[in-house]
Amino acid sequence: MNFDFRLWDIHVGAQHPFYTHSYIDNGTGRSSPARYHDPAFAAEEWEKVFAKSWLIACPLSDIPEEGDFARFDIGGESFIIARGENGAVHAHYNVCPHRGSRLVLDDLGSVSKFTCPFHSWQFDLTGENIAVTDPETFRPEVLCHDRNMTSVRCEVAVGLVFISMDPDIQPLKEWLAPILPQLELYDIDQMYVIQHRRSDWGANWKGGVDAFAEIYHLHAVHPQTQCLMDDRTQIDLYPGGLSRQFVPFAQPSPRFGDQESVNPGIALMLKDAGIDPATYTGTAKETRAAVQVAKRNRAAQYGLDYDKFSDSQLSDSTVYSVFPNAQIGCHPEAVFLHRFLPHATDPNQFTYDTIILYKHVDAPGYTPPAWMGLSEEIDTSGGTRPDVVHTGLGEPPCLGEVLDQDSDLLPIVQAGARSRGFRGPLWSEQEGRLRHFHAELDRRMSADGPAT
Amino acid sequence: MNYDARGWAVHKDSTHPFDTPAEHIDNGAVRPDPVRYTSKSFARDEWEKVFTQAWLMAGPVSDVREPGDWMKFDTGVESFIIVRTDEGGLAAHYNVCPHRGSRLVMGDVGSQDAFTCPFHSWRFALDGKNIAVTDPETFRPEVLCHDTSLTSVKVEEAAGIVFVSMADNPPPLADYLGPILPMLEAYRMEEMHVVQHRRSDWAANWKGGIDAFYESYHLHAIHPQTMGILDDRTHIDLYPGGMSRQFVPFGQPNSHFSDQDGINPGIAAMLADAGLDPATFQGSAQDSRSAIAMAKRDRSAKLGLDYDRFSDAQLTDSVIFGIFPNAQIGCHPEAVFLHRFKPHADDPERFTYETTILYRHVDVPGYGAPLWMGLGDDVDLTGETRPDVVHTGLGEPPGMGEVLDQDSDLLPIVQAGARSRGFRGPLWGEQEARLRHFHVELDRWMGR
Repeated sequence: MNFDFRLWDIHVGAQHPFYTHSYIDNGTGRSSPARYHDPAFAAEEWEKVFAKSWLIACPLSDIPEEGDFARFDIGGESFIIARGENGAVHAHYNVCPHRGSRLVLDDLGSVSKFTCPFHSWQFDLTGENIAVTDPETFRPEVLCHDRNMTSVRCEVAVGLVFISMDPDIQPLKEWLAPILPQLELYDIDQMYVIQHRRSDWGANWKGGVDAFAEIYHLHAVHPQTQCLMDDRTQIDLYPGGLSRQFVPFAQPSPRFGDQESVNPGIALMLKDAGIDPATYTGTAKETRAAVQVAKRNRAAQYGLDYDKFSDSQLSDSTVYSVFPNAQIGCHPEAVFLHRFLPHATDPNQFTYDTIILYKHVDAPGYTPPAWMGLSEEIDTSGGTRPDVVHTGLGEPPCLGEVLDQDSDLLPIVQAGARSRGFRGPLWSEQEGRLRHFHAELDRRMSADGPAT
Repeated sequence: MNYDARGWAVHKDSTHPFDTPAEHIDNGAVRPDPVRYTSKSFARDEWEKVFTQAWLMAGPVSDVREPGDWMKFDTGVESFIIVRTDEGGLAAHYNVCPHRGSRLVMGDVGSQDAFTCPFHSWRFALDGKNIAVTDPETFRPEVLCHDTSLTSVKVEEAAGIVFVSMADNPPPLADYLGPILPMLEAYRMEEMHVVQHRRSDWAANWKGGIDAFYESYHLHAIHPQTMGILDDRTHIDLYPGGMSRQFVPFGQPNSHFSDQDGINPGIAAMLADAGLDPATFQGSAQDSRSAIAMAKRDRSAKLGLDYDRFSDAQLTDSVIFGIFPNAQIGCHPEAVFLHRFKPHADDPERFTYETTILYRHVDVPGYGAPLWMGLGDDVDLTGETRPDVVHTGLGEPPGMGEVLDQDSDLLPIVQAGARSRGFRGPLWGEQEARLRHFHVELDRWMGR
C-alpha cells in the first residue's frame, strides 16, 4: 500500500489542473551503493547516461547577440555554446582539432571567431575552420583530415540551451514533453541570470541529486526552515526520470511546535507579498493562502499574468527534476537552476552549479522575494551578467545557510555510502523522486544500445 | 648464518621470565617486490584480504568505560562506532545510517544513550537496533522490511585495548594476539587513561610507517640527538601471526655514539627523572641504565607500585610490541604509547599516523610522567579530562616532538624512492627482522 500524498492535501482551495497527480510505481528494491563511489560505475555512467542525454548547458539569455558564447563544463568535457547568424545556436566541443587545446577559457564572452591560444588556428561560430596558421607547412593529406571543430546536438526549450553528445538522440521537446508545458508557464525565456555560483563538493553527483530531490531531511539538516516551509508535499513522477514536487512556503511544518503565531520567518514572507505583519490578523497556518491572494492582487496591479498559475505555484517552490543532473525550482518571480556536475575522474566529487534567473518587472516597489537572499549589490535589471563565483573543495560555498548546511552534510553521507557496512538506500515515498531517478539511471545503465 | 642479537646482551644476567627470548623464526632473506608500497591494486587487495579480515586496534578501554560511552574509529574508507552498552558489554557498528548512508557520529569520543542520524533523524539504540524511523507511514512496508538497524562488526577487548574485526568469523582475539597478550597484560592498560592523542596525515604508504617504527637501525642517521641516551643494540623477538617485540634500551648511549662513559646531558636528565642526582652519580653512562632500574624499584617499593612483575629492562627500556597488521605499542611502567598506521581510503601513498599516550595516574606528590615523554605542563595527568584529538594535515609539521617530526619529514622521501623503477625491493638487516616478519605475514594473508 502506497502512501497517498493527497492525504496531506497541500493545495489550498479549488483543484487546479496544474495539480494533476502523476504516479509511476518504481517498486521497493534497494539499489547497490556502488553507484555512489565505484570508478567503474562512474565511467560506464558517463558513456551510457551523460553521453546519451540532453544536458542543460546554459540559459539562452547568456548568449543574446551574434558572437556571444557560453562555456559549459561537465565531467571530462567542455563545450562552447555560441550564438550564430540569425539567432542560430551552435554547440561544439571546446577543443581545437589541431592538438586538442581548449579554445575558450572564460565562462562567457563575445567574439567574431574562435582563435586557438596554442597556434592561432581560427574557427567561425558554426565551428568551421577559417584559418590554419602556416598551411604550407602541412602535408596536404594531413589537412584532409577534418580540421573543423567537433559539434554536438543543440536545441532550445523554455529559454534554456540543451546539448547532447549523442547525434541520434530524440528531439529535445519530445523528450521533455511531460513537463514542458508546465515549465513554459514560467517564461524562463524572458529571464536572465542575476546570480551564478559554482562549488566543488566531496560527494558523488547523485548524492547531490538525492539531497535536492527530497525535503524529508529539512527537519534534521535545516531546522531553521521549519517555521516557514512545510514538509507535507506532493510528488509527481513522469516518464524518462522526470519529476516534480511542491514545497509549500509560508506555513510551518507539522513538526514545528507553534502552528498559530506569526513567527519572524512567516512575517518576512508576509512582507514579501506586500502584507504588513503588524496588521495581519491571521495565524501562521493561514499565511500561505494570504500570500497567494496578495500576490494575485499585486499581479493585477502590475499587469503580471498570474492567471495562468495555480495558487500553489504563487506561494510554493515547484521543483522539477530534469534527468539526469538538473533541477529547476520555479517561482513566478524567478527560477533556480541547479546542476550536479560529475567530476572528470573522481566519483567522490562533484561540482554544484546554481543559477538564479529573474524576470525584471519595472514597477516601483517590485523586488525579488527577500527569502531568495539576493544581496543589495545585485543588479536585478539584467543590465550586467554577474560573474560566476567558484569555491573549491572544503571551502564554505557561501550559498546561504541552507545550502552551506547541505554542503557540510553531503561528504558525511558520501563517506558512509562508501562503507562495506552500507547495504543500499531505503527510500520512503517522501523520497519517491530519488527512487524514480535511480530507476531511470538503472534503465540507462542496463541498456546495450543507444538509450532513447 | 644469522646475526645473533643476543651478542648485544640487552638482558645481561637477567633471569626474569619476561626477558626470555622467543624461539627463532626464520623468515629467509628474499627481497619483496616494492609494488606493495605504491600499487593501487595491491592496496585494494590488501584492504580486502588483510584489513577486513584481521583484528584492528580501535582504541583504549578507558574511552568506553561507562554505558553510552562511545569512540569513533576510522581506518581506510571505514568508520566505526565502538560503544559500551547498557549491559556493560561492548558493541561496534559501522558508522553508517542504513537509510541513506550518512555517518552517525562525527566526534572522536562521546557519551549518549542513542545515536541519531544527522540527515533524517533516524535513531538507533546502543546495540545498533533501530528505535525510530522518522515518518514511518511514508515508507512502503517492503522497504522497511530490508534491515533498518546498524550493521555491526565483531568487537573484543584485551589488555585494556579494544579491537574490532570486519570478518564474519575471526578467531578469538586472545588466540589472535597469542604469546604477546600476557606480556601486554603486565602493563595493566585498563587502569590507564588517555593523556595525549595526536593524528597526522603523512605522504607515505602505511607500511612505510610500520617499517620506520619497527626498527631502531635508523636512529643514528635520522635522530642523532637520541644517540647519547637511546641504544640501538637491541633485542628482537618474533612470534607467530606477524607479532613481534623489541627492547630499545634507554639510559645508555647508542653504539654509534663516541663517548660511552661520560654522563652526557641526556643521561643526566634520565637519572634525574628516576630520582638520582646526576651530580653525585658515580657510575659511567654504561652504568646508568641499571642504576635507573634500581632507582625505579626503590621508588616502586616506596609508593607501592608493584614493579616486581617487571624485569629490569621493562623498567628502563621501551618494550615495543608489533601487532599485526597495523599497530604498535610502546610499553613503559608509567605509560604506554599506542601507534597506529592507518591506510588512506584511496591513495596508497598516504596514511594517517595516530598516536595515543595512555598514562597511569599515581596520586603521590612528586610522582609524574618521565620528562622524555614530552607531556607539557598543561596536560592533565589525573585522567579527569580526556584531551581532544589534535589532527594535522598532509605536509603540516605534526608537532609531535623532534623525533616524530623527523620521521614525518623522512617518510615521504623514502616513499618517493620506493616508487622508482630503479628500486628493486628492500634489503633488510637482522636489526630490521621485525619488518621482514611483518611482511612475510602480510604475504601469507595476501596469498589466501
